Amino acid sequence: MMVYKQFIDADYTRLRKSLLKTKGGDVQKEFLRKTNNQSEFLSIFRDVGTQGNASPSLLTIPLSEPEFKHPPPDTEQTIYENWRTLPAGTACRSTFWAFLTTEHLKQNIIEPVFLAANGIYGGAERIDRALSDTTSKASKQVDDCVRTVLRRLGGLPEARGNRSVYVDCPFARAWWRERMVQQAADQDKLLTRRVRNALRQSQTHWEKLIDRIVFRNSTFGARNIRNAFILAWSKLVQDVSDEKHITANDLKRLCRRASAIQGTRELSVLPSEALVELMGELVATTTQTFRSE
Amino acid sequence: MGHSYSVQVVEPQPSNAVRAHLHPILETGSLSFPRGRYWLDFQMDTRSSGCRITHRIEHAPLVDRLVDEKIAAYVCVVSCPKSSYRETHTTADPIQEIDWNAEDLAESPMFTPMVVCLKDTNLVIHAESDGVHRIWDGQRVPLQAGSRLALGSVVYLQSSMEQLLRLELDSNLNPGQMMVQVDEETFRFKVKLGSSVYRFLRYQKGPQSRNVMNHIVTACFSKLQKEHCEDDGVEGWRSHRALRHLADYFEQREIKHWSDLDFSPEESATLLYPIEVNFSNGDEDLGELA
Repeated sequence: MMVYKQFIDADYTRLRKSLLKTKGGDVQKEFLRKTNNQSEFLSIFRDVGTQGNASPSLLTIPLSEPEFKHPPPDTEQTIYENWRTLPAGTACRSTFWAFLTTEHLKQNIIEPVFLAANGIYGGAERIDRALSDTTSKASKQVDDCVRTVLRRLGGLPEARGNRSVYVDCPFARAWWRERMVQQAADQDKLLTRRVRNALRQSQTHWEKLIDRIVFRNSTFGARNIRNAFILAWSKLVQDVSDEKHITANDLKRLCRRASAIQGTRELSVLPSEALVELMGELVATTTQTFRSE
Repeated sequence: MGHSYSVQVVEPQPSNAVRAHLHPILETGSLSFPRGRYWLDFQMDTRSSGCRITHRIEHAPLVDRLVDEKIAAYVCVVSCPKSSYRETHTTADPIQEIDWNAEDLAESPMFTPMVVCLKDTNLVIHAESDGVHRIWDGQRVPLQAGSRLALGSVVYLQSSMEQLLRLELDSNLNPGQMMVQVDEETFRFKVKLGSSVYRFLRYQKGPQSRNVMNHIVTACFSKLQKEHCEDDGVEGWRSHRALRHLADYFEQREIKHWSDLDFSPEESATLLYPIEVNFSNGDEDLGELA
């Protein structure tokens, strides 16, 4: 059986736990110092064993920091196409994505400091601010920065559960998002553009959706329900001229209404056309309620 | 086919998860079918990527009738939230062959059995012949496609210790040596075995192999006690679904588990899997000599 190369879970978990043990301690500061330098950063993983017999191909064009942190649509498509054959059981593992990210670091496709970037600050600046902080918030700043690096590397299941891989690691997020685009749009070019636009509304929107799919799998785990919902929602996003009207909370409420129906009926047994119609009605009626409030 | 399991998925006991429905439903906590019971029999596939399940429903003639009339069908939902997997398997036959692609799952699947309406219909309830509570007698109830007539509890086969073990040959170990590691992402114990003990466990069944397994289980419990006894509500052993289910399994059997202060790995292991001894040639007198 083909098994994609990845870190050995026990080794990689031990490394993460050792890094998270003491907030703002020497281990964390040393880790951040090493994140400034490619070879030193990679040396951290020297004792982390690997397993698997298949090496996934790597991206060939170097990415800039913003491009890595929030890949534009075409980069996300390239990422997905590159690893299209990846099984879902592998694509949800932080051991796989962390290994793949370090492979890209080795080939200089990305730089380790990119992993620390968050909010308005670049990675190098954030590391510098954390290490030079002498206020009472210094320990938290260092800890936050370490956690960001681990989250970008392959997700941090200790802090954010199974959804971390889907939302925190840019490579993994791109893969899962584009996979959902392809599944919902089913090769229709116009739909593909519409769905991609809706799934890329914002990180908060994406997190709300993933929350439903991974944490509350009983509704949106089913591919046919998820596809029908995403199609209806993407139409709403397209139809509303000012996208800001469709907030992440609106999305959350739509998801809840769909889950409430699923609570009384097993929707996954319905034919696709019936599901698309049902979700279309649900989105239309719920949106009227938003407007009237 | 490998091991068989039988699980009662609707039990006659209260439940705070029960919802109000416009039609009678066979589920734990609902009084709709006062004598109704629902079992699921599993016959596991040795490849671990499929199983045969049998839905057994008793004292719920309304459910049987709607299945016979092809208005409803047996459904088993196979899911693995970690890899965002959820597949619905539907059949008119109570015996279902279910397959999944092991590569799509990140951990052992969960099974949710149910009986679901496939088309919209209206029916008048006859309490006695339908096996339904008299409160429904004579009522006309609407059923929609997707309405659940029976809903069993989620079955997670990793709740027993055997399901958490993965035996692996490790040629770096001495023939009779073993070591236990934990795969934190799927939460399974990777039991690395030397060549002779690996072959023995794979091909020999009997008291001696069960006793070796007892040794392994003790080592696993010891690992849990050392490395996974803490949980602060945010991070810790409860973040692993498999461990939560294993803790429930212990609790049901009133066995102490790894986060209890006085947990003793060998005591719990031998409670679950007693050491088997065969006395021969008057060896049973040994106890009296002590």
